[in-house]
Amino acid sequence: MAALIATLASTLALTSTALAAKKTQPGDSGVERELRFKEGDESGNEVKALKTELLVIKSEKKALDQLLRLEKKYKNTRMEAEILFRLAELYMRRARSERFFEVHRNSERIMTFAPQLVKDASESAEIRKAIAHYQRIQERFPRFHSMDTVLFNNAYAFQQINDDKGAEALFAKLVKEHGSSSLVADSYLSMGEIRFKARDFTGALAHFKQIRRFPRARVYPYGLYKAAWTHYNLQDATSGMQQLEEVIKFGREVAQNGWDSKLDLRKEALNDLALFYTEVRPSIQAVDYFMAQARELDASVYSMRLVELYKRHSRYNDVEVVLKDILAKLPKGEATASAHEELVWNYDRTKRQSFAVTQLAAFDDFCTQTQLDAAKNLKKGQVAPRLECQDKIADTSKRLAGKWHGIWKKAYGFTTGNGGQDIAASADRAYRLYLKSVGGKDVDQPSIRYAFAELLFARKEFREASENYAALGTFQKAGGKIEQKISQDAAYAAIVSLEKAVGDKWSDPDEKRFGELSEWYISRHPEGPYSLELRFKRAFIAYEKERYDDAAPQFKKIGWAPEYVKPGATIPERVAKAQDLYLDILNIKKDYKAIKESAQILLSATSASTAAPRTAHIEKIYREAYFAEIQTREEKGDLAGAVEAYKKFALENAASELAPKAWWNASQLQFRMGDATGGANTCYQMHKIFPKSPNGRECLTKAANTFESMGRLDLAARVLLNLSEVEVENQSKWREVAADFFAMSGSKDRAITMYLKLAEVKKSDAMVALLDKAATVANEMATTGGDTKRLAEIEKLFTDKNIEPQASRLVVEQAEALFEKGDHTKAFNVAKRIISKESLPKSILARARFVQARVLEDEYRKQSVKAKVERVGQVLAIKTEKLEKAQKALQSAIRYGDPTVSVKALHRLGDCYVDYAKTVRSMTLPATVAAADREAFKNEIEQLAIPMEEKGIESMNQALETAKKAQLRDGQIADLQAEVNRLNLKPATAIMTVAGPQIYLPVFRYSQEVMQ
Amino acid sequence: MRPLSLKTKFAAAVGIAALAVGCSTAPIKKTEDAEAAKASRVYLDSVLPLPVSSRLVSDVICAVPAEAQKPAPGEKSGPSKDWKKLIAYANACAKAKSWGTLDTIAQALARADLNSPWGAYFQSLAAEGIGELQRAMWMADLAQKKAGGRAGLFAYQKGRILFAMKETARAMTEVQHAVELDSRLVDGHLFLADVYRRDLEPDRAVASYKEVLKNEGDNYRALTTLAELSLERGANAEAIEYYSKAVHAHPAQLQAWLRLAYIYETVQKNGAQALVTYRDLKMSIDRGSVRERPDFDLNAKIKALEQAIQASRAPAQAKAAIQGQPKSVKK
Repeated sequence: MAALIATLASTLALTSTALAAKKTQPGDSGVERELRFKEGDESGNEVKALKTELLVIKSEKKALDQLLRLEKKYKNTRMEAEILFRLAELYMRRARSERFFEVHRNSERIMTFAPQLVKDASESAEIRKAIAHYQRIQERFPRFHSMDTVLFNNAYAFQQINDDKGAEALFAKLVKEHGSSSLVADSYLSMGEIRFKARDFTGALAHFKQIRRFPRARVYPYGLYKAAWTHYNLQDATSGMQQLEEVIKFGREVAQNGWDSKLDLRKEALNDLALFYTEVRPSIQAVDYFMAQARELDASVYSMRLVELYKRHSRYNDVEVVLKDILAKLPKGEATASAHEELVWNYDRTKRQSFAVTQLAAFDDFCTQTQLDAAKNLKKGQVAPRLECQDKIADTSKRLAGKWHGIWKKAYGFTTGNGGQDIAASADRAYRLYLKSVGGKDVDQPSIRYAFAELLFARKEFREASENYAALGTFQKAGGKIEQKISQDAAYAAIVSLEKAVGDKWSDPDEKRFGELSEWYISRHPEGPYSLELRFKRAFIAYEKERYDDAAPQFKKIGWAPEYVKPGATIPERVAKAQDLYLDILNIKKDYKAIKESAQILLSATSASTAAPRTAHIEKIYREAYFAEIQTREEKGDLAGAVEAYKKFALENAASELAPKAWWNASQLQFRMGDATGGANTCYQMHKIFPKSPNGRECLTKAANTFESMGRLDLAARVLLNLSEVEVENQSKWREVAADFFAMSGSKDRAITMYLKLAEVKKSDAMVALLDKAATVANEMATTGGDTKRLAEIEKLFTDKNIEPQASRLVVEQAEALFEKGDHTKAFNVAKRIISKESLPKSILARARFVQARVLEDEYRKQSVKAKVERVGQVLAIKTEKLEKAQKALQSAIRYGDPTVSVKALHRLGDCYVDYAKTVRSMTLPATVAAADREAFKNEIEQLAIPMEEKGIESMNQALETAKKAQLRDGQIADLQAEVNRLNLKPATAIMTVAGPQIYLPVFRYSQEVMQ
Repeated sequence: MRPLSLKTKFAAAVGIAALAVGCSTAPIKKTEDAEAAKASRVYLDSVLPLPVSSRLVSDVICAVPAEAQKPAPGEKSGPSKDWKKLIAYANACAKAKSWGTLDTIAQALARADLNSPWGAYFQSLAAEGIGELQRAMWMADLAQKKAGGRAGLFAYQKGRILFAMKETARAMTEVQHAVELDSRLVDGHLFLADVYRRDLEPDRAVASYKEVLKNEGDNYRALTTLAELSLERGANAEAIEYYSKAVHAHPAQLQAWLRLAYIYETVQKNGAQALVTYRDLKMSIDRGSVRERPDFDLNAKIKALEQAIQASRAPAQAKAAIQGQPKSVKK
């Protein structure tokens, strides 16, 4: 027997050792160290668990073999029941190992190491073996000393294979047959639970109530606890609450008496009490109730359980009531921080973001105070640990800020109005709280700050936005990791925000900040999309602040960078702008030479096909600079150089709108220099080179003026022809003047042609005036060169067009010419053609009549008075008749009243009279006639001659007086006076000849000055 | 450069046209331009108008000087450096009747000094010289415009051209205007006087001759003609006075001596004064002041007058002396 006990002891010890290996913490054993789990090493731990199970199985197998051998050995002895009980326990133990393999049936690793064990594993099989052994004890050893344990364990085994009925029967048997067993209360508990599980709450309650009979039982408080729940399930929460209150009360006693703490179920009861409370009591009393129940325990925790339940049922008002109560009455509770947080969320759920964010701030205050309180207890140099509430605030504010920001953005963020400012402000505060409370480990921190900066930007809080964007850079500089895109965008957004914050005026600090930010961007993202923009802006600020020396090299570096200044390159807008501004600075500095050179570099590098508008723009600048450079030259007094340069510019840039202006300037400079000829020539050329120049008319006018002033009528005429093309409205006038100038400068034929052409389109007086001019010039040609062709042409025009008095004047002149030629008959008849035209000027008619009179005078003079005696009378009569005809004609001419013709006619008439007297006096009779008759004839003749002679003298005197009266300055007066004197037998005096006055010349007063 | 006629566009154009061709019939304008006068003053004030026959006119040989090709100075710097020299050469060419060369110099003058009237004036003379009278007239008018319409010389030139055109009446009007503007134009007065005298207007002729004397008190032609006109109207003493001045101013003029002596001797029957005159003439001849010789025996004449004077004191002797009177001493 002693050996048996020793064997059983060693077997159980072995078993215990084996079991203990699974339960106890690792010791110093090498095996234990080997089997110790390593955190995170899932597969390794799995293998280790397998190894452990294998060791256990090995031990169990040894124990089982030993017990089976003992069973055989002690079969049918008193020891058999004890051995069977040990075997049943061992099988229950093995069931656990089998369960391990069943559970790991899907593990490839376990399958690899112990495939057969896994395949054969069966927990229920082992349990059934245990049940079989317990049954054998019950059947064969009814008086076994631990029968209540056998029944309880067997019942438990039945429960394990889900045979609650079998289990319940065994528990009932135990209660019935072993009423004093310590396992009765446990059995009631198990039976109650089986009924509870079967939802037979009444049955269950009956069992649980039985437990109240065993206040010393370990399961006593649990029985109360389960009874509470059963009441609850029976819809009697009030009874349930009472049961729980009992549990709490019992627990308090356990604690006070120092009993097994496992019997203290206050926490569980308080926790579940919350559920029951929601069923029957108002939220307003909740915190007070739980404080009363919990007493020394922290009621905030259980109040929060209540909050959870209210929340689950969307009873947010109740949630708010309880939370506010918690914060008011339990400010230092374990769950106060959670209450703070939960209240925040409750406000959010009820769409009260401003309340939420205010609460969040309160939470933050709470947390801060907590931290301060904690800091008081720190030793010097000790760093305060991060509080959980800080994480909560960070997390909550992060989530809420993001959420609210999203809502605002969706609803209002893309509008220009001020809608949704409340929610935006809430988001703003939430972001700030986040950034205040967040620790360094939140990976979301960069993106949240970025989002905050975005919100600030959207809300036009530009400066702060800039700072927050920039903070990301600082964060990154300190080693923080930020997504590349956010980093790049933030760097640029910081600058844009700063720009927006600054507006138009850049203070020095702002400019410095801009420099820092842009440098940050450019250095980190040299190829970033905004790198160029920023470099430009940096220069632009300096430009705007008129620090041109700073701005110019920066613009130059951008605008003339080789990657842009090359054929085919597309010029970005900023590069073009940099070019423009650099050129503008040069322009401000009046450094036109540099502008010209810089523009030329651009022009030579760009191709028209790729950047035609830009090329045109640069060309324009180039030309303007070129032009301005010349103007500077002009202002400095280098007029000759400026003239040359202007002309060169104009010819090289003929398509430019400045070209005609340059040409014009050149002309004006020449005039200013005194080089009027050059200026006028330049103007003359201007019309040919730049016919559409706005100064063309003025220039040509000036050229014409100049040439006219110089007496260069030939050149003035050519310019006027050009002017007539420019000034179309005065075309005919300028052409006429040009013709005038041509006439006077030797081009008479051309002038006549122009006059005639102009006359073709003119009417009446204007046409006649032009023809008169043409006739005058043609007459000069005829007189000086003998060319009468053009004159004849014009006279024909007068005649054909019957232009008076020109046509008749020509007739008269023709008659006069014919007379001078001796063709008197024709002369007479030609004059006759107009003599009857009374509308003609008297001078014309007088001349015509005078021609006729001269013809008749000639006939009179030709009439001979020589005749035989018998025909003397007849001849004399004929002579007298001829005289009368001539006399009448001459008197007729005189009557027209033209002084010149009258004086001539009177002169001719007087001459005729004197001639008649002389002629008749010369008539003599032949000697054959008697002397007396001859004497008588002579006396008769004398009687005839004397009055005629007197008439002759009288007419001559009349002619003289008429000439004097008319002040004829052609010398006739002197001639007539001489004639009168002669007729009056006065001594002849020489007729004075008047010479033209001699040329006068300008002679200097002090001639010695002249040749110096 | 001052704005000229074209500056006033249409009206100016009409004006130019009238000048260009219609000048022979258009009335002479006497409009004055103060601005032009001011601009040209520097060119006019330093010169005297002298007849081409004057020995003071020029002492250079007609040629185109190098200065005629020089570029012109700036307007604001005043007259060109060489304008006086160019005028000296122009005068020489006018005197030499070298019209082509004159025109070249005239153009240089016109080009270099736009405000100066001399370029245009010499162009007028050159044109006149080759018979281009219309052009000459236009240039004279241009010169007058540049002078602001105030220069007698350019009106005088227009008068000359009109006379050459046989427009004597208009020439007289222009010359009259010329001498009113500048009475130093003695030949203008003489021209007017001559025409008046020829056309039997002695009073106007006398007035014009006297104008000559106002400016040139020893003008021989004016003095002698005035003397003859005085004689014609019986103002013998006046005639003697004019001839006396003529003899005094021009002692080499034999004819003046003889006419003075004649008036004393024949018209005034003042043998003694005639004798004095003949004696003075003889002395002048003897001294070489008078190079011509009378066509009679001057010594005999003097002797005859001496005898006649003695005879008047003794009448018998005087009769014989009178018989020696020379025939040639007649007007």
